[in-house]
Amino acid sequence: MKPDSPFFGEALRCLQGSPLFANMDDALLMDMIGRCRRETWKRRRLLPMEETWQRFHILLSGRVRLSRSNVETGRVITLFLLGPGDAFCMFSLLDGKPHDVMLETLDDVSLLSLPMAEARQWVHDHPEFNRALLPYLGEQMASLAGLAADLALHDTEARLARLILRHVDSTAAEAHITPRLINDLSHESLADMIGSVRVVVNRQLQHWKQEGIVDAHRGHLEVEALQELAKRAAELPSNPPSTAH
Amino acid sequence: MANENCCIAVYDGLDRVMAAAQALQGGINNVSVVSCCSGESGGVGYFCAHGRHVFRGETAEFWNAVCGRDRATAVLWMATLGMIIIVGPFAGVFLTVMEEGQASPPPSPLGEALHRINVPRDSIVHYEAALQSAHSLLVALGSEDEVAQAHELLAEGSARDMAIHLG
Repeated sequence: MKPDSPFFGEALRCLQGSPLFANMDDALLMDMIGRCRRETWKRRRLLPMEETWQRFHILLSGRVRLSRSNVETGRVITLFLLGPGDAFCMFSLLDGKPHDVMLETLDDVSLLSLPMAEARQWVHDHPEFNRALLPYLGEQMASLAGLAADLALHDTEARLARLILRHVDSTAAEAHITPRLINDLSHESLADMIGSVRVVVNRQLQHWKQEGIVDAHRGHLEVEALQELAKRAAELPSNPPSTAH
Repeated sequence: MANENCCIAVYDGLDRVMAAAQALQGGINNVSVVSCCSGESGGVGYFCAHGRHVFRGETAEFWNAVCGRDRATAVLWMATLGMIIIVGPFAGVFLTVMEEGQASPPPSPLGEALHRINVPRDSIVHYEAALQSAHSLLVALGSEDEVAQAHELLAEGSARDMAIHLG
């Protein structure tokens, strides 16, 4: 993208707020953006990883879901839900190989894209990016470990509560807290994130709604009793989220 | 055409558009040029004879060159943008929109035509503003590989801005 593009500033601001790029020099970020091309993808675009792994992408707006599915049963598990500032395909950046993951855009998205070989060279040339990359990858690995543990150790109610808590700002002081990224997802998409099915998630949310723990209406999810939700997550985190009331 | 992908580049002057169109020649077929001509001091217009468009006016040389033979051409007046000339397959998208009439936002037929080739709303605003500022658009339509190839060919040129829009 050229520096005089009207979208250049927007891309720079996005990277400045990204967990992967936030601590990097502006000059370095501008160099990175200058090497990328700007793309927009329509909502509900489905892409197998073999079509995307040869390019490194940084999301500027919208959400992308990375999932795996069983073609025989049709069941899907969401591995990552990415938002603005997130990057993919991270594993291919590391090992230069495709991985069995399906990409789906949940919104119209805009992104930066550059060839994977060039991204790998850029990583090699800029150790400061490496320093940010390791914690970012650590977070992704922790997220996968959390998903595996949730699937093996917790029932559906706890898994759903933990999913919502992971997307809630624990320092929020509002009475009604809107979870990041997942607040307008369909019940089916939420089910895909916790290894369940739509009817079970729907029933659970209705149950919590009656108890005043969440408010879910017109495809919008809000947490109304954060402390109670934390209890339903089967264990209170070491730093329990502040109460909503 | 509904699921078409595109690569759109914005250029400062018609000479740059010509250089870009030449860079694509042979590699990419579905290339269109969109330009707003209300700023032309000498005016530009065309007549059609024996199935061939012949432009006359200050920028006639450019338009006659890009038009060539058998290329769809649309010349329209729009209240917001003035006179618009479109040469290439995007003219067909535009005219389809005009024939169907406008339903809902985006607010202009050009915006609706861009929307049909999967350009998102914020980019539509940007492209319309670029046309109003006397810039021109080069629109390459095609498969994902074709628009990626177009982007690659145009990347070395003098586009002010360029993006790929995938459906």
